[in-house]
Amino acid sequence: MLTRAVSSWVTVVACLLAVALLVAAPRASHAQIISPDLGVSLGARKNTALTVSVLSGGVQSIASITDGAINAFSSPVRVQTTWSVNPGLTGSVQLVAYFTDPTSALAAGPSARIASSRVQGRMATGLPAAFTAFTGVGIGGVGTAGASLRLFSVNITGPNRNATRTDDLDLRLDLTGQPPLSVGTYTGMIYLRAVTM
Amino acid sequence: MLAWIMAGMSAAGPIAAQQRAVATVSLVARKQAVVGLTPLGADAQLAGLTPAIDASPPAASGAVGLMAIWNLPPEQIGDLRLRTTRGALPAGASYIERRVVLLDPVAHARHDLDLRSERSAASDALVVVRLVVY
Repeated sequence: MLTRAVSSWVTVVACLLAVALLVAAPRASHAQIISPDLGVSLGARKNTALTVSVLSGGVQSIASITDGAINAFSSPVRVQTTWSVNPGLTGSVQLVAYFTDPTSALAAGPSARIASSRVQGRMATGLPAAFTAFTGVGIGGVGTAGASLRLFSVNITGPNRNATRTDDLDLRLDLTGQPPLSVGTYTGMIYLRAVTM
Repeated sequence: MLAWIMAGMSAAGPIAAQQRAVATVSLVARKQAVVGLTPLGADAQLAGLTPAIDASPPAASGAVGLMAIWNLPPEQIGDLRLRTTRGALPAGASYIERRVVLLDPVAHARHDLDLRSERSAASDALVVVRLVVY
């Protein structure tokens, strides 16, 4: 009985030794090999960005025009401009407002029109601190000659290469000295365009 | 590499691609139709109302000058009538009516009304001059 137990134990130990030899044999038979370093390049590009959006006042209205007088639009247009640019490549960020046709900023038909010279804008935090007519030229290919208004110009330096600014644009019609307008609903569109120079 | 650098440089320095962003603002302004009367001359003692004017008869007989002003949509051009009545326009009251054909949607015209007959008919009554557009 004792002899059989010892025999079984010896058999188990022998099997374990055999397995251990099989596992260890390949390593023991080869020298360690290390591959040369393989480089993996990492690249990340931060593109420049420029956005302009109207936060409020995107629709301006006058319920009833008074002839021969100044007619103010109801509320200012709140404009937000955001940029992220390279100071070495961008000298300034500018915001321009313009109509597409100086003779017809607002129109109620082919013969009922209000010229852009009768529309005035003011941006207290920008360039036209007082009400100024939309009669300027475009800037850098942006805007319409005779129907544009430059709202701000920011020189880009290191500290302001990434920035956001919010400005209020006040609008009004100056009809002083003008003959009475024809009855109708006059509509028009102002384009606000930010541009890097 | 040199070509890449030169592509981004000019004699004055680096050149950046111009970037643009755009937003829009809509404008809406309404011009309402207008019909009005404006007294001319102080002798008529007219107190202006729109579109009607209440007027005391002139102390001395004579003409009262009135300026009619209108600004109407072209599709509403029609006859303009200047109607003069007494008091609060009682039923069957007589009135003077002058008819003017509107040729222009935006215009004005002067009318001289002789109020002597009105004064004789109702010496202390108010004279109501009303501009009516048909």
